[in-house]
Amino acid sequence: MALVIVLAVAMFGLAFSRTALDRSALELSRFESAIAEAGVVNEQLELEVARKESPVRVAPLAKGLGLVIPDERRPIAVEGVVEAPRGVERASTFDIPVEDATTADPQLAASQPGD
Amino acid sequence: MPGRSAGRRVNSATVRMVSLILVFALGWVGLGYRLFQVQVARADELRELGEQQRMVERTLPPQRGTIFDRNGDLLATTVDAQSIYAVPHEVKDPVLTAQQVGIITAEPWEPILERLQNGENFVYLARQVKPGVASQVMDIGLPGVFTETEASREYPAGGSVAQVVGFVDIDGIGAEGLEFAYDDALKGTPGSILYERDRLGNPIPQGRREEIPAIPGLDLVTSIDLPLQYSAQESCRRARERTDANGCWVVVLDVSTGEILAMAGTPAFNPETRLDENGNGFSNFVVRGQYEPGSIQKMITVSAALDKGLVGPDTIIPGVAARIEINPGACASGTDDIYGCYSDATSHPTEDMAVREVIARSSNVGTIMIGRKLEPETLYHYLDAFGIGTETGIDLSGEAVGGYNDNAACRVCIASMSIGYTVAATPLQMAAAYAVIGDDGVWTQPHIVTDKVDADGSIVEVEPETHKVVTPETAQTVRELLAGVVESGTASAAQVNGYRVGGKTGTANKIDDSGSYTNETIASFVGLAPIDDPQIVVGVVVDEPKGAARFGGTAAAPVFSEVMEQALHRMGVTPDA
Repeated sequence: MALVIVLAVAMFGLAFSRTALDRSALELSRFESAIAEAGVVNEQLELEVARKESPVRVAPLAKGLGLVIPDERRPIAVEGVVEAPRGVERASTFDIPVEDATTADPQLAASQPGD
Repeated sequence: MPGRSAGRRVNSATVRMVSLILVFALGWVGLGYRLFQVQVARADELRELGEQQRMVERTLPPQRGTIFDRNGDLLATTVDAQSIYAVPHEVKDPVLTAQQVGIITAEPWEPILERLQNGENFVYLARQVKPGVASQVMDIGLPGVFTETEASREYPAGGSVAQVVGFVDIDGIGAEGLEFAYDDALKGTPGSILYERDRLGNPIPQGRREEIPAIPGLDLVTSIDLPLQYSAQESCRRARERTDANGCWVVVLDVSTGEILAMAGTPAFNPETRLDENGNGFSNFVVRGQYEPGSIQKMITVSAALDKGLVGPDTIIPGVAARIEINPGACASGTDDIYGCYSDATSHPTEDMAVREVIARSSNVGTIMIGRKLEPETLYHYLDAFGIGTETGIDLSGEAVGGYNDNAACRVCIASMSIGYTVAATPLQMAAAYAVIGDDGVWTQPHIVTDKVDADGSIVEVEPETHKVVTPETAQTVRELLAGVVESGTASAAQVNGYRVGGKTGTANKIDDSGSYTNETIASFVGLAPIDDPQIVVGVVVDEPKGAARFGGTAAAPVFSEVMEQALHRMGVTPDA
């Protein structure tokens, strides 16, 4: 009798674990499909971003908003950081030490030629 | 007779028993035979049949590699797209189906109807349609019409870089440009998947599954700078409008690495329609176009003479007239350069000219006199070394070779070659030749792809070929001569704010179909900057500019100035002037 009960429980357990396994496999399959779909959406979004960032789109928009390419750029050499070429303004016009020029305003420092 | 009766009953029962046993036995034999057939005799065949019913094998298409510019911006990528197809024998009303599909896809319906009626079992009605279009068609519920997912190649930068990147055909095979040149690397290797399916066709979880994954194609990292590329194309577009030219082409080269930073032009090519603005097919004049470069080739002639020590920059060429006659009597019959009569662009008295002045004023006569100091073989050697008449080997398809006339019987060819006639070169060859001067006499193979990246992120760097052409001293001297052209010669319009540049103008008459020179010109300019430590070469060719702007100094030099300024700023080159 005990053997029968053990066998019954074992069979029930086997059937249950098999069902659970199948359910997990199904779920995994669904996740894989969802990942694939998300991948496709991601690709589409990356493409969309690239299109939006493309100069072909941005430049006419910028022009339409009245933005222009500066006629004349005035590079400024920060003394001690880069050697000032002929005709280029020196950092003394800033009247601040080099260390301060590079740390006080990172944006300004980043825009210096040669950086 | 009970005994006889009983005996008959026994016999009858025995007969029935025996019969029953026989029937069962025959049944078992039949079953056994069938079992033998199924399990042994036809086992392989039936196993195969069963597998065919429940096993499905599909090819896994590889993901085509992506193409990036030098900043990581997308130039070409692959996304999933929907295609609409039909099984014609399931279509109930072909005319209605064609009309409905035609309306939604904005395509003429007659060709769709033709495809539906061509007797095939499977036909595409529309391929790689825009998002939403396929679902609109499916929403109507047309019988026999279905959709499937296909890979679609997209070019987010549009026409601005199409002449470099090229395009793939509808089946995703590289057809032009980088897509064609690197098709083997980009396309990857298909994989396959074998899986068990249920009666509805869905994969059975935990079922048999064998998968050989597809190997994605390599990604390509190019040297193209997309903003510069766009800017160069816009400069060309403006120049074309200003000069009413047929076309305008620009190439921007990194002097020391040979990397192409931009290669643009108009008429621009549209990768969606596969046509350019004039309705013509794919073309890239920078690589495929051959033309007589005219005066920009004087740089090679003078470099050869300097390198051989035959002249110096201040060597005086005595008695430079406004016209020179190589074949006696040639000038009397007109001024047809090819037959031996050569003139300077502007008339001047016969005078002594220093070599630097010859270049600055672009004197044809002076350059021919310098060229005559060279042995023909010496000039050929330098033409070869500078890359004229030889493919550069750039990683684009359809590169033109160019060439020059080395026929010893041609009495005027050396003179013509000295000033850029009887020579055919591509704009790329000329730009690479000027890069030699910028890189202290070393020719470097121009190239676009800098790295190939596989799916694991492993990078294969591309190594360009190099060879020595002239000495560093010669290159430095020529740079000074070229600076003189911009600072005091024919190319003041090539000046760039904040930088000292050098270069050479060229205005070559075009040849018509009969081989005679016409008044139409190809105006060009090739130059370097900063001239004391060149980083960038820009070559510009304007095809048939009209009116006063038909010369290199007026049509091409302003384009050079705009593009060079942008290039120097994009590459972060420190100003030097």
